Amino acid sequence: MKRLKKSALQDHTKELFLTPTLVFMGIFVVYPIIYSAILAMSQITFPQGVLTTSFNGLSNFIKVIKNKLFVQALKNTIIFTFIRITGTFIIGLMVALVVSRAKGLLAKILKTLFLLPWALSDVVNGMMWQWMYNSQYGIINEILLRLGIINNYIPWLNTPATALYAIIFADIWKSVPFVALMYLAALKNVSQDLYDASEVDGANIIQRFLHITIPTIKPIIMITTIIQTMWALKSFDLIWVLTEGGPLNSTLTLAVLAYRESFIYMRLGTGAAMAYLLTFLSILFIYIYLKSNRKDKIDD
Amino acid sequence: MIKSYKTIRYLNRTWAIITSLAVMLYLIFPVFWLLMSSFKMPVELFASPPKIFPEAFSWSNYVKVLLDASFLDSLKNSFIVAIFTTSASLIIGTLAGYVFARYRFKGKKTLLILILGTQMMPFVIILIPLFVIMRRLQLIDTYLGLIFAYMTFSVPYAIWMLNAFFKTIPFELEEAAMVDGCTRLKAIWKVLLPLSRPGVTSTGIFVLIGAWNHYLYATVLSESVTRTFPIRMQNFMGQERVIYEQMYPAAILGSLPILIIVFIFQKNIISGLTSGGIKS
Repeated sequence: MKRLKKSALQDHTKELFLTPTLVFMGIFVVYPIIYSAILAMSQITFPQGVLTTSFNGLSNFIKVIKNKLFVQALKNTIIFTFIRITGTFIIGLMVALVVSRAKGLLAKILKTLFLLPWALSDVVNGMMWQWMYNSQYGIINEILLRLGIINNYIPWLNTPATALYAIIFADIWKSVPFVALMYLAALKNVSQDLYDASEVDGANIIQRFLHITIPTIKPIIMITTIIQTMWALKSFDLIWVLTEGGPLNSTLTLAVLAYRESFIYMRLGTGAAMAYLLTFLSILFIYIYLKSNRKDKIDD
Repeated sequence: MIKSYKTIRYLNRTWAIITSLAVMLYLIFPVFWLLMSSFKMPVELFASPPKIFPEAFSWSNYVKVLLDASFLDSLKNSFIVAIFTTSASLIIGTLAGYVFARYRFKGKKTLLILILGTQMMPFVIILIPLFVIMRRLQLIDTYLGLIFAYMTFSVPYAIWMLNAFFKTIPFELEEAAMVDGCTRLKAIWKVLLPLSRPGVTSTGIFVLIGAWNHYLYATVLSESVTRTFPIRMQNFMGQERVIYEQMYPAAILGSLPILIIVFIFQKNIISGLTSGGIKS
């Protein structure tokens, strides 16, 4: 009797507890996603200022794909994503290794400091990097000049050939803490015994790294890379603050293009179509990752 | 043999020290540079070549920023929006996370994946209709509008994280409380939440920092009344004559609350992400 009553209560609570989530997500997430899909497949007009849609199939998508700017943005997005993933992987892992080995007070200081780029607002980050990249007063130019890498100051963010890479450099900086955190956690699973044994056997640091560290943290590398790909593809803030996609569209990515199309030019139909194409790209990438790593699938 | 072993150790250590320094310098220098710049007067800011330390640390810029009502307003706005976004997300996330952690039902996994999957979409997909909805509900440039907008990404995050944390707490403890006459809600409040405090704290901090710093949705949904800190910073940059000597102190002041939180909860942030996030 008691048991029956309890299970009836359980069923009731379940629905009750899920209601706020379902209502909220329904109105502010699911409805917008569907609405955007409709916009992407509609011709949009504003008779007397009222947004009116009329279904036009895939013509927005076709229009977008034929657009030269889209092709440019697609190229930039892929370069951006690829370099950011590689960069955050290498530097993130290095930071994790450094922090995981530090001890005592040093560890505490490092653990706070290395979170800084992650904790600051992208607008502050953008402002900071803009100042450092400044063509006349920027510290980066001065450092590179002193090191003899460049001969004169370069306007990094205003030169089409360098702007995208300058942004990626800043973006990697901002993304490293999260990646490092993930690897820091993963490194805790690396067996110290195995490490000590191999050290006695004369394995150098690179061998140990390749044969002990990497295999142990491989599942986390996979998850981190997927998350990073998702975020890199839709990355917006820093690019918008630094260049708004310029100069000459050299830093225009799909996320920036879709925003510009929708909120600057108010072409909501093609803007939504661009955003959906970006989503498909994201799904495609994740599908490829998962497919290529079927064997070491991580379970729940 | 022994000698080469020692050499390897030595090389390893040197390698470690050099890379440590280089990597930490890369992560810390930009913030350090901003801090130094915030104390410089225009003459020093626009010196070429730039000097690392200011001649004299000038606090007058900080004072000017602290007297700037529109800047203080933006901090207040960010504070209100961040606090309410965090509280609402934690409440909703606790309830849903609890259901996902404690019940078995058909389609549970699919629902969880769908909730997280929405986060894969570019922000613009949500933002266009959100703008239309908010205009219809007359929520443009209101706190509520911003809070709802930020919750579109913080609620899924909270659900996902809290679910992972709750799963690590054995159900028997709540069950015992309920046998003793606690209602389910009371068992959550008195048993589950205290036990998962590190997880709840870290989830809350992530949401709080995210809401304080968020930029994109605010560019469309926040205007003069609810102008948030990131938007205020953007205004600094967008001015015809940028007042650099006030912009940098403002950036530091507006980031200070977050930096303090990171410093205090550093351990929570690290362990929170690692114990909850990775297992899910």
